[in-house]
Amino acid sequence: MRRRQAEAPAIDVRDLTVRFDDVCALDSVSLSVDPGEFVTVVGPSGCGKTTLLRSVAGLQSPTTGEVRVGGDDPESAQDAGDLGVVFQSHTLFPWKTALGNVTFLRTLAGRAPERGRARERLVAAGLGEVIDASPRELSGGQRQRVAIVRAMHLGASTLLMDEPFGELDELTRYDMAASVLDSWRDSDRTVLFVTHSVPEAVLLGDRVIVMADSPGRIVDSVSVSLARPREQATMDTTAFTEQVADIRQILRQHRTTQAGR
Amino acid sequence: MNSVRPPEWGYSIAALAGAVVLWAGFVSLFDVPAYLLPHPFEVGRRLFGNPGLYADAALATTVTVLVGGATGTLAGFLLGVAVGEVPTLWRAFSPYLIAARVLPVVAIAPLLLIYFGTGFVTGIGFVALMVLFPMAVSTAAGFRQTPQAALDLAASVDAPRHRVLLAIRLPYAVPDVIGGLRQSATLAVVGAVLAEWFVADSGLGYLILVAAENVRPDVLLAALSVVFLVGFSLYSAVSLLGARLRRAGG
Repeated sequence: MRRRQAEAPAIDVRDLTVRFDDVCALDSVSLSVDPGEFVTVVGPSGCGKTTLLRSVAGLQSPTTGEVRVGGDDPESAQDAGDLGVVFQSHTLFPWKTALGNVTFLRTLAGRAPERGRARERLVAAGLGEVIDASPRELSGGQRQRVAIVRAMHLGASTLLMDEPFGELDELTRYDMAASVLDSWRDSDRTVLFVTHSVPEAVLLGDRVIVMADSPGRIVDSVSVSLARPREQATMDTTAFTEQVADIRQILRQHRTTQAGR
Repeated sequence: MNSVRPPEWGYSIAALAGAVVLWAGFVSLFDVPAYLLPHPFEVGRRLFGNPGLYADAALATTVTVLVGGATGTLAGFLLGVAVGEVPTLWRAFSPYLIAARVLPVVAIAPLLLIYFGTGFVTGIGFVALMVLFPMAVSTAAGFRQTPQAALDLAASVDAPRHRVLLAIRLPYAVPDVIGGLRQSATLAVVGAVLAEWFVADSGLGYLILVAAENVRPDVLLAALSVVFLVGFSLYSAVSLLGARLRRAGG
């Protein structure tokens, strides 16, 4: 594992602008995430939140600006296996078992598969029954759980999640959020988590980054004051509801400025 | 034994038997002369009266099919991988690969005759050409449809290109490659029979040609049924192989 400098932010985005032809997906976005921090990103469709995550993952090159992960460029972080990415869908390889999928990412990264440890992680994630099942035998929630375990198993210190629960039903998605919180609490991982669900963002994040579209930009950064550990019951508290309402208000403000179009 | 359902192949055997009965009934009922349509028994008598002739012809054709088919599918596979893997090659060559499928290989046969003469090699080349383009297009299509998320995942750990090709793109392409192989199995038999019309002095195609010239529909139909048998066996073998490949799955 790479050593991080104690002072360096885990993720550091400076004046990032990404243009596709004449469309400005991100306009001068700056964001700094501390090591071990859980940061969530919310915003309407097309606000560039996925582009932001892909830029941090090194899957999208900046038009201008700079992205640093652990003090290095994203390509070095990729090379060091220090970025664990979880996508929205179609992420498990259909010809591999749950276990095979978990170890496969390490193999791709040129590391030892560590099957024993992978098994333990699957059991800990409540997937003990389906270790040798193929992806088509798993439910949507189980599949994403496997994808998350796979990202954890890579051993990366930074996890990037792009609407990982976007295709799941309401109940499952909060179960999943709770289990992500469980495994995050026991690690010192930094998480950047993109979602379009405000309650999900508040439940998970230390901080919620609010984005607006046309052009994609960060309009606010809201610290979540809710105590940890949080669980699904946290969502029934007044503090939670108020925090969600605040962020919705911010989102609405920035939408009304575009309403005249 | 807890099921009374006949096996899958039972239905096709029944259909074949039904067709033969209809054929026999039609010939007997309308007194069709044998030089137009012989009775199925006549065809059977031809076939089993001189099995060596048909077996030799089948063997000659099968060798052409296997050698030409293997050459053509291998070349097509490699071409497909190259074109599927390198976007620039795809942009440059895909229109011609696809257009080549509408080109009747019969139209190219005279060229092969000029280049290779009337020997074994021409037959092989003919069969190989027949399967080359469909195989290349299927393979390329398979390699190009790897889900973007899978490629992104590989990129997120900076996986080397050869590992992505072998461990991700190839397994995702397997169903299309198998489809290409199955298509090739039948095309190769068609190609071999056609080639024998032009260049051979043996084989089932040659037998059909001679039978036609001598107005012997009984021999022709006997040879055709052997062609069917060869083609069907090959297709089944490839399908079985494909099912195994798919199970092994990378």
